[in-house]
Amino acid sequence: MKTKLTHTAKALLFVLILLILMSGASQIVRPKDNTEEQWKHDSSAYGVLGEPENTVDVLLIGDSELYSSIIPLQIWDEHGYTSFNCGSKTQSLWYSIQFLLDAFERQTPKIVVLETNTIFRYFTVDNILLHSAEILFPVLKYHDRWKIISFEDMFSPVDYKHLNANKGFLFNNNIDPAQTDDYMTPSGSYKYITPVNRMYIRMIESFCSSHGAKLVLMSTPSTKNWNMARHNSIERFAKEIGVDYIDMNTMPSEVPIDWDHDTRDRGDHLNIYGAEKATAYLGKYLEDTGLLTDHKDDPACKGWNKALAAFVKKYRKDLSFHTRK
Amino acid sequence: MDLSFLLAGCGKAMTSFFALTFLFLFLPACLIIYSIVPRSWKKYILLIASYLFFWFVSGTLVIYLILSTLSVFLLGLWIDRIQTQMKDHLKELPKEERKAAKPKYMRRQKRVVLLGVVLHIGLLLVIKYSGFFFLNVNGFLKLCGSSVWFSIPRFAMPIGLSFFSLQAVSYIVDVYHGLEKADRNFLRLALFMSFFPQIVEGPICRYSQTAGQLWQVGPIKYENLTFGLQRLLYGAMKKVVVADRLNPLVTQIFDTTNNYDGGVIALGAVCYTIQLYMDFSGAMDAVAGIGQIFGVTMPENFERPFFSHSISEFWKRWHISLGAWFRDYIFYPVTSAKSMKKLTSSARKKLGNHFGPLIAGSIALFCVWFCNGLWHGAAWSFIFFGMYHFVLILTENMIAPAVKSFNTKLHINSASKPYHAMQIVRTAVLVVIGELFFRAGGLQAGFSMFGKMFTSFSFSWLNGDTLSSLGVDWQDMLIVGITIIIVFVVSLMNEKGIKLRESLAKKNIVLRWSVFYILIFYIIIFGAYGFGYIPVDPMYAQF
Repeated sequence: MKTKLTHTAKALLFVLILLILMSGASQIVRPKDNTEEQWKHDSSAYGVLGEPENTVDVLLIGDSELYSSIIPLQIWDEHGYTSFNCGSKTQSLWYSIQFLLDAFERQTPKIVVLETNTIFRYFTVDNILLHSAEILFPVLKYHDRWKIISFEDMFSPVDYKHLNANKGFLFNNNIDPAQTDDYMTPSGSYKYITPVNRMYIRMIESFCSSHGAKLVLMSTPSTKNWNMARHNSIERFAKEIGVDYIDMNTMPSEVPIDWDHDTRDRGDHLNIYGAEKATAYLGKYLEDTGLLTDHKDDPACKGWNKALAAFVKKYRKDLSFHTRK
Repeated sequence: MDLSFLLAGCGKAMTSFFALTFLFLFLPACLIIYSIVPRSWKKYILLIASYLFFWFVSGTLVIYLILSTLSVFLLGLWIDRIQTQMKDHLKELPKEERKAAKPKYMRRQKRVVLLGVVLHIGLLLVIKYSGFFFLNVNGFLKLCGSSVWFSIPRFAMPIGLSFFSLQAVSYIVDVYHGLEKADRNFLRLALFMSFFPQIVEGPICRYSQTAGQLWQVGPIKYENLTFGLQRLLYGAMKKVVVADRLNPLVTQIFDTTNNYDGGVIALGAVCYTIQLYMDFSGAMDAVAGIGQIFGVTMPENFERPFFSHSISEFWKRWHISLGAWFRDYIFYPVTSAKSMKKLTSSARKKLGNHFGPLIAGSIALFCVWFCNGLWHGAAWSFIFFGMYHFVLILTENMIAPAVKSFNTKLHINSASKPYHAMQIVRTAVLVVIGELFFRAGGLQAGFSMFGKMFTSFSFSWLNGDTLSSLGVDWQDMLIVGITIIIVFVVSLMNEKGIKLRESLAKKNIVLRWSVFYILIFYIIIFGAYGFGYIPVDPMYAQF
């Protein structure tokens, strides 16, 4: 019995030391800035960490559909709301949660918009385990930084100061028309949402509620990724959990996407021309919620005007929203 | 409650012993439950865990395993009954009549064995090879100008079928030969057939090797636990640090072979050989480690194959359980067949004592290597792989006396270290060439890649740009190199009979734990996992 206890105590001590070492290693290898050079994965989406504290009204999370469709600087220009696009390539819901956790450490958004394509991205239990462990021990996420880490970098404090010029939006003016024959053909069918993904959305909803933010589900236009079965499922699920659902695929008059012109890759993603239309609608929706205030004259948001000017200057020939007023 | 996500999710993740789901959920849950139940229940926990694991990995295809086990159980009992009847009958007969009565019973037993072989190997042939067969038949018919064609059948193949089918056959044949008594305990046989660490990639165990141990498992011993975990970690290092890190390079070279010169292709062939070894032997380390935790000694599947002096020795050290299976159930039965014995004795008279027995041996060897090639997959490139090794081993056997006399005449000391080193390098080169054909997508691609190594060889890949276009950088190669040196040193110590884990266990706790932590952090920091890496399924699970 005594031997058993000794062995158990030894095992526990071994694990405890291991956890302490992993925490230490996490501090050493984690990026000390949110720049790409510092190897912060998805640095454009993580640009949200560089924004001044408590200045972001709307947090947008999702996959490439999102970063191709919503232009935060257009929302700023048209409504004076500060939003940040935390879209990242093939984002899964476990990763969306990480964005939420990271962003809410520095920001207090009033609205969180989740792009729904990510709800149909399935992942394994292995993914859940790894990414939960990554949140606890960033060494598991940033272990590959051994390739670039310097002695100085190891022990310097974390200071996120990188600002993303486009606020997470990916500019693309390529035009590659889409076939729309089967796009949003009426159907009474439902696309399966896995219990794990349902659980994750509920977790996101409950996190937002407990932090005083409203969760909105949003489907941006895509002929390749969206259909009525998906729409039906999300619509039903949104009702179930009591959140708003915007499906831009079902609103041809409000979001008049021209599929011969407004997509960069045959309907998979929008280009800048489509993104302007999607953004304009989202801006109006945000205004209608009555939860946000215009920050145009807020000195804390001075940087947004500069960012808008730089954005317009850079992409002037492809933009139209700034000329409407 | 909808549990389909468990299958959808775990199904893929659980195929690897190094998947987090396995390491941090399944295995700990097994160990905890195993530890708290009374001793008499432990074997049942292993059985339940094994079937649960198989269900996670293969879903409803678990039915194959159940049917296979059931058929093996019944066939074993059937053979046993015939053997008992024979004994009883022979006892009653006068001595002179016994010899005449025996063949009837032997024939009946043989028929049952044949039924077992047809059931298991037949099932394997249908599921794994019917597509390949009909593809070739269609090709042949087209060549003959026929408009007739067969639709290509497709079957869902449960993971591990190639492994547990061979285990099933070995059990039936061993019962027939009287090497094993037919097991009257269905659950014991079921555990032997399904033990979860070995079901995905082997080793192909004999009944005598594991069935008894598995049925007598006891409490987990502290020493077994630590030794087992050390072995598991060592396997994880091989797989996660080396095999998975080399994967982008190997995939890139073999998938877009036309873009590269012979030097890059040679690099790809070497890296693939290393990847395959580290992946498969790493998994076998995990199997041995997990087995050891439960107090079960699993047969070793690798014994430092790259220290081999010849191809035949290599195959005694690489995938040992498969080689032993082919030896015992194909090579020996073929060479001991009456017709072969006749052939050997007449050939011995004409060709002498060396070349005479070689003829029957070569026929058996051909059968072994044809089956070995085919076992790895249904494609001509795999059959070529088998034939390549057949030719190499046959040549080795044939020229052995000539080499011996050549060495004697030139006063070459074949026991010297440089001579051994030359043999080891030569064997490794031949193995790498074989693996090139094994990995190439078809025979044509294999020959084209092999040809390029002679027609357009260069060391252009030493240029950093080429490496980065292959999905790796010099730091990746450095880590791979360091880890290979670690594995080499450990192998060398094992080869010299030094038992590392036992030696380490005698050291003080600080040193012991430091080694543990270093190994864990080596895997955490230098492992190819997480962001930017695609998880690589166990390579031998697909065969």
